[in-house]
Amino acid sequence: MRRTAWFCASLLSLGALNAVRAQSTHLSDLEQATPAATGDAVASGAAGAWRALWTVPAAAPSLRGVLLGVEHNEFGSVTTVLAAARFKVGVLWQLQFAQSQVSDVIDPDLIAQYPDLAALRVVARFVAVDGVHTLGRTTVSAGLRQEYDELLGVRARGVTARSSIRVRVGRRTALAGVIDRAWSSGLGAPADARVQIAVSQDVITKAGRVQFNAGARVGRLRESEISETALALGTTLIVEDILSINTSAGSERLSQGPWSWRGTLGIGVALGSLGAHFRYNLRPEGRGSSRAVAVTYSQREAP
Amino acid sequence: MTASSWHTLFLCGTLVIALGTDARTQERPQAQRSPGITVFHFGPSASGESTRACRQEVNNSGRARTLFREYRTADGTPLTISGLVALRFKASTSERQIDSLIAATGIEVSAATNRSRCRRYVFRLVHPEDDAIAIANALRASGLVVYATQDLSAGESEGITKDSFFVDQLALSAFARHDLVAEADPATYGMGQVLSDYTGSLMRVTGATLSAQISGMSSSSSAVDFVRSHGITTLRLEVPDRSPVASVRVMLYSLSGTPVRQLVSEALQAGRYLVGWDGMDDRGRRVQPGVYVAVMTAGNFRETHRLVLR
Repeated sequence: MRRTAWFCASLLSLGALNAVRAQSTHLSDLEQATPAATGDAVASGAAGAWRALWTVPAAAPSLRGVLLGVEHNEFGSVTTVLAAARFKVGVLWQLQFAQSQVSDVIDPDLIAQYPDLAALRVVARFVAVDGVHTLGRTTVSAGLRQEYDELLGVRARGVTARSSIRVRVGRRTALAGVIDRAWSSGLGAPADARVQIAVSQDVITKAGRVQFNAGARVGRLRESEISETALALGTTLIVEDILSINTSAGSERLSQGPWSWRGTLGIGVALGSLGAHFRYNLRPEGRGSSRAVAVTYSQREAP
Repeated sequence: MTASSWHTLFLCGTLVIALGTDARTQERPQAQRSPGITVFHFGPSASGESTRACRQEVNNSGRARTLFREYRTADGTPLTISGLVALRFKASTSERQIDSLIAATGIEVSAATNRSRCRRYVFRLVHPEDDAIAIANALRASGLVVYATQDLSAGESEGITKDSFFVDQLALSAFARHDLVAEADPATYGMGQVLSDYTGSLMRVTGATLSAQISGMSSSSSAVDFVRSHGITTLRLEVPDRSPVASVRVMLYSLSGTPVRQLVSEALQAGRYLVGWDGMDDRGRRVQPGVYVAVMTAGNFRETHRLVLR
């Protein structure tokens, strides 16, 4: 009965959605931001644990805990704070909060001349809640995300529905998919949807467990956005469940524009339930490169 | 470039000069065009709420002098109104600035005390080649007007009123040359945000125009209102006198570093410039609202500022 309800909720979140008006690039960037514990937002969708949970709530059926992270992009003067909590009340729930702010938007001499300009901010924020349910090798989630977009005094809000699924194939392979679709929104008319798929393959070596990840994302949430296509590959080496080192490379393009590449290099250390993660995001010529750090508290129950 | 284009360019240059804008880069057409007379009608508009609000004052203005009785050139050729540009001076634009404009364009006008308080006017363009949109852009770039736009609604019925004016292009050129000589070039490279709705391509301006732009808002709250409605899509560039002349590049990127638009890429003579962004990328597509990063490079100089698109 519960399973049926969750499948229905998953379908409903993708179904008849109300028409709504242009979200900023800043909110679009925030929707695709991930904490340091996640190697690459596109590649690691099926990776499991904190490496995937930000984008695919269904990725780790048994993980509970708390995550706090911060990321800074010097080129854009963008600081992003991300937090997540997973807990069980009946079913497994995942709460997410993310806020991103752009500083130094208005020149100091303009502010000196017109002091009221100092009160104008560029802020994007969202709060998301997802319910997660597992049956056998399949885990599904359904949830809503409430978004807030403030662009120098102009404010808008919207709601996006999200549904994800992860299926384990054999002992070492996992497939995952997630669909986001704008629902009611002051942020612009909803577009079809944004779809992401990912695959993960574990290989046991003498050095530790090596995980190969690959993913793709396509689509947009609202008509005002430019449709994006992104591809990524990643590798994670996990030693004794204590140390993890991950690298990834990806490429993305807006509409029919040129492909631009990005890369990540991350390292995580887990001591018991506590973990610390660091990540460097690399962009061409250093533009848009960012540093991220996150801490996690994890509590795992038997699946 | 066609003769029509040259003419429009010239007229824009004329306006730009008159409004405090340096048109050195736009002077070439002058040599190809014989001196003549351009006629502007500088009177209150017949349409719009602000006109109604100001009508009483206009009727009572008692303008003293009439210099123009019909639309004819100096050699007597009748002229046909080919376009209208409606504009309204900013509250912050001083009477002195308007007087300077009038003096610069060779316009004869009655005493300033009789000028309409509503500050809404229509320029009548009498050359079929005149591009009302380009002229409106030049007016907007001056920073002296709240708006300037091609006015399709001003209608035919205003007729000739007391305040129609001649503009002597030779006098303008002389004024422009005098104005240019008087101004010193910037000492260093520089870039900064400007609160203006100018979204056109790179345009050379004088320091006076920049000052008008930079202090163009009447109050801090009106600056906030402007940013809320228009965003920030105009930059000022300052180029010092360097030898050899450096190639100046202004690129626009997304916050995540993706190239969006090349705004400037050329060797610029020393001077001050305005460049606007129309919200399009290099492929001519409208981009999403948001914050974008403008990077100016010239030799070893590099500076970054933000633009905000609504």
